[in-house]
Amino acid sequence: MTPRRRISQWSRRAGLCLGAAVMVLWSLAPIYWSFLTSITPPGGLVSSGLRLWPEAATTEHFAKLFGATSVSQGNEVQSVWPQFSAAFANSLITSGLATVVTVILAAFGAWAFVRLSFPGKNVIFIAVVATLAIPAYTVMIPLYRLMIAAGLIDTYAGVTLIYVSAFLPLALWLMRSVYQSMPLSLEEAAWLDGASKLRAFVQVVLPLAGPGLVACAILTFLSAWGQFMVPLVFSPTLATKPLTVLIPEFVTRNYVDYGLMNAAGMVAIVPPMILVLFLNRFLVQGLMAGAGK
Amino acid sequence: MAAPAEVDFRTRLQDSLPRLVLAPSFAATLLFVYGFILFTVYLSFTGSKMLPNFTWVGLENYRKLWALDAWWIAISNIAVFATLYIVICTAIGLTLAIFLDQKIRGEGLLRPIYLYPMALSFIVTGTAWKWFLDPGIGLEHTMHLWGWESFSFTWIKDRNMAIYTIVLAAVWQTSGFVMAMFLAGLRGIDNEILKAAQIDGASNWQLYRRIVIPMLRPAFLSAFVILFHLAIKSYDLVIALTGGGPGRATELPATFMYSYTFTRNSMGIGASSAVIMLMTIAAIMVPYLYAELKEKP
Repeated sequence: MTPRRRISQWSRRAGLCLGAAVMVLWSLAPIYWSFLTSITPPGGLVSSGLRLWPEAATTEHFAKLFGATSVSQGNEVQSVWPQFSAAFANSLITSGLATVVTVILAAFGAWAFVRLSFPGKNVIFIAVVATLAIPAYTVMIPLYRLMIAAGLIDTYAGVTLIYVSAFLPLALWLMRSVYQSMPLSLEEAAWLDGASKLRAFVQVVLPLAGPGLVACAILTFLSAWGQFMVPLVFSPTLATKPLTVLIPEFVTRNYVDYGLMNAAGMVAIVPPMILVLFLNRFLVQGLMAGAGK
Repeated sequence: MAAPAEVDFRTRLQDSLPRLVLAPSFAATLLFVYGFILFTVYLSFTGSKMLPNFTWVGLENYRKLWALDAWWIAISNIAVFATLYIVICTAIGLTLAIFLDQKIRGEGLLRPIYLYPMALSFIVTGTAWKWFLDPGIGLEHTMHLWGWESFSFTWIKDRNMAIYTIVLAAVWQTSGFVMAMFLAGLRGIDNEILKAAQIDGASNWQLYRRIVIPMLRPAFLSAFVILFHLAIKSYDLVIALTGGGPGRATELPATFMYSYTFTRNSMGIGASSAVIMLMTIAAIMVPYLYAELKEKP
């Protein structure tokens, strides 16, 4: 290798590293900023500006979040823990239910669209996937009226139903590409061995579609977890109100409790963070089936 | 003999079971979504205020809508926002994907880091952004403390610039996901083709320009569709960052529709704005879906 070539390769690598570092900073800085705010004492937020670590770290905001009662500006404040824990549970339950139902429906439904033939198959598929493009707000008014009429406002069933119908089209689309990329011969072999269509599907196809299913589950869970507009309308009380709606309510008329909001935010991002950390390679694998072809 | 008939019945049952189970749920979804759209279209021709009422007013709502300054602001904002958002996200996502595809060490670590912003609800990370953008406590304040007194960064308070802070935060949120889509596309390209081109003496630049990027066409289309519908749906970004302000400077069609329908008691106008957005989306999405499904029957 000539020295010149080596230099150009070295500079190329340095450039790559620099780019990667800038992007890491860009991606993580707001999250770190949030974390920093959650451990900075209330007074320290405005006076000291940006620091990599606060002068005096405090667990005060987290104590407020998890504690029984707390003192703020000399007044005793009602604990937010009952609200916070209820909202956290609501977020988990609604997102979890939506994910399970969506993935099951998509797993079977997409297979039906690929392998079964029935009249109007393509038209129905287009009609279902086209709903992907429809923003929630265009159907909000009638949906709201129907939910009131059906008594589903502020119930897990109601919120889950809305999430499932909102996220199913994308999951179906993804799973359809996954199944399409699988050779039919696998199933045919199972049929020849005497397995029924359904059995061949469950025992042969589903395990192979694993990454695609996980990708669907990730996308659905993350979308449901981050939902704001739907629960804002359909989850008015703590019976089903999720964290995304509760946290902005920590802003009171004359005081924005940045410390508390960010402490709550730090707890709220734990489930999605864990999900992305452990399952992100399935996301790429699952998307590959769709985008690669 | 009864046995074959029985088997026949069983297989037939098993064959039709998925259909029996799925048909109602799909029918319900289709009926609700499309039925609701028709209802919204109908509402847009009525004089509905706080509650739907069914007095026919013709195109009155549309006339009122297009006479509203707030609607014009929302429309021009979404045009600026969607264009910048889609272009910048695609550029960053593609760059990141090409970078991660160089078989670098630490890909397993970098990939989730780039994906994180998408995973976290913006209502949560939005507070950090709000803080960062606020001149009194965020970046500007920090720069002043560090001694750069003349530094000025007041976009979020500036009527003309506030919409760009929304673009900034939206790009931050989704570029990692676009990266995942392009990465999937890159991984799907046959290595043999690239090797053949390299043997033929193609430079890296030519390789990407002439072979890789054209082969990513499906990924570009998917990214475009997903980004486009995210842009049209954008609601929580605006609520978390600016609340539509300063004044009405960052109003988008979604916030417009929500406020006219649910807080300003003008359901008819809200519905007509929803119909206009729906027609815009249909005009862009239908050709795409048609092409997509025609290619893969």
